[in-house]
Amino acid sequence: MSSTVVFEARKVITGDPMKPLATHIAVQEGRVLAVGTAEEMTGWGDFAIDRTFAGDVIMAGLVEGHAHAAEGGLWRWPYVGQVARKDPDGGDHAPLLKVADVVGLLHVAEQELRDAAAPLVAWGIDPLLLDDGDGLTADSLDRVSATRPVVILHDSGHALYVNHAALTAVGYDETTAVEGVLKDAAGKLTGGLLEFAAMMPVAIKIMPEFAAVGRSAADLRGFAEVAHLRGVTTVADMGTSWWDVKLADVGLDATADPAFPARLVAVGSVVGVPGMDPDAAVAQWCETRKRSTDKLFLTALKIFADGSIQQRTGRLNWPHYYGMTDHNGIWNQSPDDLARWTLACHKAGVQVNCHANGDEASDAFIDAVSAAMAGATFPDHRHTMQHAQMLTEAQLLKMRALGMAANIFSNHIYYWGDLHRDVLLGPERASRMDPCASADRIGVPYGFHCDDPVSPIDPLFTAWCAVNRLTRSGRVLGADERIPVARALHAATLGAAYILKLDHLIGSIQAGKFADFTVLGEDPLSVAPVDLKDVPRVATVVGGRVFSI
Amino acid sequence: MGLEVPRPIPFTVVGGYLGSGKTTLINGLLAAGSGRRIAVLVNDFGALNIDAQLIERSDGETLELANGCICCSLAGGFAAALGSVLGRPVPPERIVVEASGIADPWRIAQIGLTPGFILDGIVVMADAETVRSRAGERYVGDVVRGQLSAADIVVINRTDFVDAEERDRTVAWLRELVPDARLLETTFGAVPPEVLLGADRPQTVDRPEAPSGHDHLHESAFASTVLSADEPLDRAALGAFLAGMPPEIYRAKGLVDLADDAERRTDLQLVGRRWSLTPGAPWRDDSPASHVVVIGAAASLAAADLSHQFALCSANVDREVAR
Repeated sequence: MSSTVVFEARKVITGDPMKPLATHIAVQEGRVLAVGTAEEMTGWGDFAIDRTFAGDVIMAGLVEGHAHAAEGGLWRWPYVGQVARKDPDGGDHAPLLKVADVVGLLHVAEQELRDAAAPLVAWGIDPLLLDDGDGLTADSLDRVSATRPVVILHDSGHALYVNHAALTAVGYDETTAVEGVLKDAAGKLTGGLLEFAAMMPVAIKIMPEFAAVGRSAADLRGFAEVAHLRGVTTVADMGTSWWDVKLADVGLDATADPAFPARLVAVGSVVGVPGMDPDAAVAQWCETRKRSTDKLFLTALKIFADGSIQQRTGRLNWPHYYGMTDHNGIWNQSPDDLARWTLACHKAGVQVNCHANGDEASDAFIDAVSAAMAGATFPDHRHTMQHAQMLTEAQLLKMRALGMAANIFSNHIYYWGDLHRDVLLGPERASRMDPCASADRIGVPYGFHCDDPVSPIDPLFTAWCAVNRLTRSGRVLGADERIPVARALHAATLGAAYILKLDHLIGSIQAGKFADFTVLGEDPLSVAPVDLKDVPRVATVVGGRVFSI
Repeated sequence: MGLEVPRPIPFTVVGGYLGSGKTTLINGLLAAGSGRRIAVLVNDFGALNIDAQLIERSDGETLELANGCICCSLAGGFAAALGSVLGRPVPPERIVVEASGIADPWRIAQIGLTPGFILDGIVVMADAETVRSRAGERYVGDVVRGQLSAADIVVINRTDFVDAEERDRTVAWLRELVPDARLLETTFGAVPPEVLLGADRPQTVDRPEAPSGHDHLHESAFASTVLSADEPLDRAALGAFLAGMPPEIYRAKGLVDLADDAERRTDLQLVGRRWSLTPGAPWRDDSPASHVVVIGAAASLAAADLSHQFALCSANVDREVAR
C-alpha cells in the first residue's frame, strides 16, 4: 500500500453540503482518502502529517470553466492591457490606463528587439478601458518606432492598432476604401483596423505566426501556469482545434509531465472541421476522447451561435441594441447548423457547449436542444449555454425543463457593465445580465468562466463579480441578481465541475475524488464579501502534489 | 527586376443563404476553367463535386486542378487561406471566395479593397422558390436581406421550380430590396464564367479583335460586344455612361485612354452596379486607344446603342452640343 499524507489546515471548506467543514485531509495515490478531524484520520492506518498549510484555509480546487489556451502563447509578446494580469512566470503586469503608459512600455520593449526590421507586436489592449483611448493612434505609436512596424492586438482579437510603418508596410493610405480601416474627420488614417478584412494584410505580412498561438506544448504549459497562479486546479480550453490529432498528441505529451500544474479539459470546436458531416466528425471525436487521461480530459464539443455584445455582434432579440433597434449582430453558425451539430452530438452522447452571448442566440440553442431531444435520447446530457449573458426568465425555465446548464460570465459586470448599461443594452437589460440569482431561483445549474484571454483567469475574482456586481465605476449593476459568497464558491468549484461533467472527480473535497485543493491565506467565508477577490492564494494541490504560488 | 507594381488581383465574392446554389455555381466555374488560374476559397471541399480526374494534387488544405485552378479551404480562416494562395510560386490571376451561407458578403468583400486586390463584384445567389420566405424567417431573415442588399449581381437560381407568376413576384420583390443590382435568372446555378468573372484575361483585352456585331456566349441568352474609341475619353462622361448602363448589362472590362491621364492606360471595370476606373500601365510605345468588352443579355445588348454612347464619351466632343 502506498503512503498516506494528511494535510492539516486551519479550516477545510469541503464543498460537500453534508460535511461542510473539516481540519484534515488524508491523501493517498493522488486521491482523497478521508476528510474530517485529526482523530477521524487515524482509522486509515499510518500517515505522515503535512503542516505546511496549518495556518491556512483549504478549499476544493478552483475550476475555470471556459478559457482559451491562446493565453499561454500570447506572452511571447508584450502585454499592454488595461486589466492586471500575471504572466506564466508569476510576473505582475499592472493595468496601463493611459496611452503614454502603453507607449512607454512598448518603447522599452522596442529597445530589446535586436533585428532592426522585426515588427513589434503587443496584445491585450481595449481602448474603451483607457482613460484617453482616443489618443491611441498611429501618430502616438510612431513614438515607439518610426521605422519598425508596431502592431497592438485588441483584447477581443477583433481589432488592431498600428503605427505608420505598419500602415505603409501593408500599403494602406488615404485612398484605401476598406470599411474597417479607420480615418479621422480629415480623412487621415488613425491606425485603427477593425475586423478581419482590415486586419488581413497585417495578419499575412506582419504577424503570420499568430494563427498558431496556443497550440504548442509550451503554450499549453504557460496557460496552465497562468491558471495555477490564480489558484486554479482544473482549467477548460473551451473550443480550439482539438480535432487535430497532432494537437491531442501535443496535449497528452505536455500534461504527462508531473510538473504540469493543472488538469486540462479540452473541448473541441466544430469550426474548422474540414469536409466532414457532423455525424462523421462526432464519431471521430468519440475516438479522440478515448485518449483522455487524468490530466487531459478530451470531453465535449463546442458550437458557436453569435458574436459578442460589446462588439455589437451578439444576436439579440428585439429591442436589439440600446438606441439601435434596427441593428442586430451576426451568426457564426446558422441556427440550422447549430441544430444539426447538436443532434449529431446528442445522438452520440457527446455534450454540446454553445457560445451564445445574446438572448436570440440563446433561443436558437434552446431550440436546437429541444429538437435534438425529440430525435434521440441522451439522459443527463447537460448541454451548456456558454457565456449565457442575457438569459431571460422564460429561457431559464425552458433550460431547466430540458436539463440544460449555463456557464455564466460574471466578469462582464465589472469590466463592461458600465458600457452594457450606458451604451449597449440600456439599464434594464444590463441589470439582469449574467443572472446567477435567477438561475438559482429557477433551478438551472451553472458554473463560472472568464473566457481568457478576453478577461484574466481568476475564479475568485469571477465569484467576487457575481457576489457584488460592482462595475468599474463603482456602481452596483442589478442588486437583485447578487448571490451569497458560499453560493459563488460553489459555482467556481463544483458548479463548474458539474457543467464539465467532471463533478464525480473534482469540485469538492470528498473521499474518492482527486486531491485537488486551493490553499488560501484567509477564510473566504469570513472576509467581507467585497474583499473576496483579495483573499491571498497561497498554493494549489493537484492530485496530492503541492504547487506553490 | 521590373519596377512595375504587380496588377491587383481581381477578388469576387459569391454569397447567398445556405442551399441557394453557391456550390453549384463554383463547381461550374471550376469545371469551365476557361484557362485562367482561378483560386477559389471555399468553406468545405466535401461539398464540391469535382471530377477526380481533374485533381492533380491535394494536401488537405488545397486542391490543384489540371486546368490551372486551385481550390483552398477556409477551415483555417481567411488569413491562412489567403496567405497560402498568395504565397504560391505562381500567384492566382483571380480569387473567388465562396462566402458561408450566413456570412455578410459585404464584410468579406472588404478584403477586395485592401492593397493588392481589386474588388471584382459581389454575386449573391437567391433561390427562386425559397428566398422570399427565408427573408421573413425569425432567426435569419435579416441575414438573407442583408446578403441580397450587398449584391452587385443577384443570381436568381432554380427559376424552373416556380411558375411565371411567382417568378415575377420574386423579381419585383428583389427590385425593391436592391434597386441598383443586376438580376440574372438561371437554373441549375448555370452562369457563364464570362458573366461571373468578366470577358477576358486582363492581358488579352489590350488589343481585342474588333468584332462586327455581337458574339453569343455558349448559345445562351448572354452576348458580348466590344466598344472601341481612338480618341481620348472624358472621365466624367465615361463615368456617366457607366453609371447609366441598362440593367441587363452585367459586366464591362477593358483598357481606356483618358484625356486627363494620357500617359498611361486606365483599367475599366464594371460588375453589375459597381464600376471603377483605376490607373494602369504606361502606354510607352503603344498608341493609346480604348477597348471595352461588354457582356449582357443578348436582347438588351442589341437594343442599346452602346457604341454610339461610348463614342460620345470622347474628350473631343463638344459636350454642350452633344447634349
